[in-house]
Amino acid sequence: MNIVCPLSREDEIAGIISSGADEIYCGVLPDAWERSYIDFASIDRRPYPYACLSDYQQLGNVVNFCRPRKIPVFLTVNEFYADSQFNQITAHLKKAAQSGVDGFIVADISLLAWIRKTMAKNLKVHVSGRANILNSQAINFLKEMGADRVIFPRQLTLEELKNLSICAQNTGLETEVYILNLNCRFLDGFCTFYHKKSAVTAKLLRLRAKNSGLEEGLLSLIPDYFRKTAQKKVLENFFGCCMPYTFNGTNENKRALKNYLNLEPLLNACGACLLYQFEKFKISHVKIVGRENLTGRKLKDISFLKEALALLKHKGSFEEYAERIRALFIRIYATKCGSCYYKF
Amino acid sequence: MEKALFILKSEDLSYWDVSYSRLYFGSEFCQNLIPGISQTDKILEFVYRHKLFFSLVTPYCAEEGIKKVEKLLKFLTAAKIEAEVVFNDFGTFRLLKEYKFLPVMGRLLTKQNRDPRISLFNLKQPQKWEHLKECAMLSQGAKEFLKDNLINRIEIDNLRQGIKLNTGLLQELHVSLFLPFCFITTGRFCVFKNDNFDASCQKECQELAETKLHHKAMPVELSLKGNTLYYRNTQPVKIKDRTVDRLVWQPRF
Repeated sequence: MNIVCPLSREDEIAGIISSGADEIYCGVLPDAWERSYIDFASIDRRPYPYACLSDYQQLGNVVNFCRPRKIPVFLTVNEFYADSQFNQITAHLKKAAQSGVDGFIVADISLLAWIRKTMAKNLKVHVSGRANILNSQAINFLKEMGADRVIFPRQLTLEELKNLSICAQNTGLETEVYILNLNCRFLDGFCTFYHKKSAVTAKLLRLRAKNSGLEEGLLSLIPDYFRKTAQKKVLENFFGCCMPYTFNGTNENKRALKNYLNLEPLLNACGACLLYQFEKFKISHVKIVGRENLTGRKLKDISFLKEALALLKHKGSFEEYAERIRALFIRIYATKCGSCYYKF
Repeated sequence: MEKALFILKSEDLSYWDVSYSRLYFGSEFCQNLIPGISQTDKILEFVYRHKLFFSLVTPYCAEEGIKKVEKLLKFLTAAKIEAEVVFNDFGTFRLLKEYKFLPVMGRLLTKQNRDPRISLFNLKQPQKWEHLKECAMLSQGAKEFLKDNLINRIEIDNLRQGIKLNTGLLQELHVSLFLPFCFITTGRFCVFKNDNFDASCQKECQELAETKLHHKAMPVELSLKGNTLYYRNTQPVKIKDRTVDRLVWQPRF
């Protein structure tokens, strides 16, 4: 299985490759887009300057570093774009192609169709988990539309994943699953909650783009509990799905709702135990989520997965493997894992 | 302007009156609520008796759901029923091509921005957020996709921030507007299932009232029913576009 790792800064690439990533995905936030929309529209689901490269020159440099090492680089364009944005997005795709990317990650099936009609045939197109491909008919549809890979959404049971992988492989599609980091209560591709941030936070985030190393050093001094609390507060303030709503109802109803809207299990989400099954299902790629994460975190994620994949050689039973993975998680991240990505 | 009544169960036929010339029946958000054949047959009797047009509504589907949808399509084909089918899943769309039903792209796929807080955004810079009134399925590329795939009708919600349609050069396109409920988000986790979205379903969402959620930052009351968050938009419809030629009224979500 190949490890697909996010990248948000040019200076991350050497560390990410030497840690063992097999494929890179990244976004570019051009000045023109940022000037047009500030934070009112994301170009690729991460409306933060520090989560994206800032120009195509940087993208080209990343590609030039990766190409001799045979590491593919994919550009994320996994949003749904309005008509007023269409020309900017198609120009964006063309510039990225000129920079040498191997292909794109799209959520909008009509954008997949446009790429296939208009752009070079050697460019690969991966269909994001945001397209919510949940059944075999949809997989066949993707193949007919010219996709090269399907990224499965998180809300699938193991049995469903197994059957969909078989279907994808039979059609000739590569398969990819999310494996680490932030989970979501809802199906991302159907969610229309806006990930808004305040003007003050936006300024702080721009500073972060320039001082990632400083922030990383400072963050390491803060105990894990306070970091998680701060993260929770940010999510509660800006993500509509995470806000601490008040609601009426019976006690049983309130308990069910509190559990349903509880943010805690969505942090530190992971699917690494299931590498055991994914190997059997012949899943080809596992994706680390979190372009917005600091470099140190990304390198830890790759190390964790590298060790988890190595453990597959001596796996024993699934329960034994899962126990080793949970212990590995604690050793690498100094905290217990949160929710499981997939239901099993 | 055509008026359609959207119901999930036969008991809601009581909401029908002669102003509705079309009946929508089915589910958008949950494969467990895909109607069975006998339920559908009962609805079709009503449709036939009152000389209505019929639209079957289908949700996003995992494998179990897509098999139920195919079963229904086979039934409709065998009964020679002329129906539109609203699809919210591209797997279903593929089936519609195979069984030669008229496809209507449902509101889960037309990709509007439905967060109620959008209407509160900084009004000093309206050009920065005009795009949030648009529908992503009406971008230039998306319209080509609709045309190439013979999809002539799409469905949208009435947004608090207003709606801006760019139907432009697509002469044949028709748009249905849903009232009064606007969905915001949905997923396979159901509040009645305790994180086991494949646990057996008793359709509790159909028997119990929705839960109302409040937060000071949210300008409207939200409702949670089963696996879907939505709100009731009581604002008047702010759109004048000749392509909007159907209103779809939901008496309840």
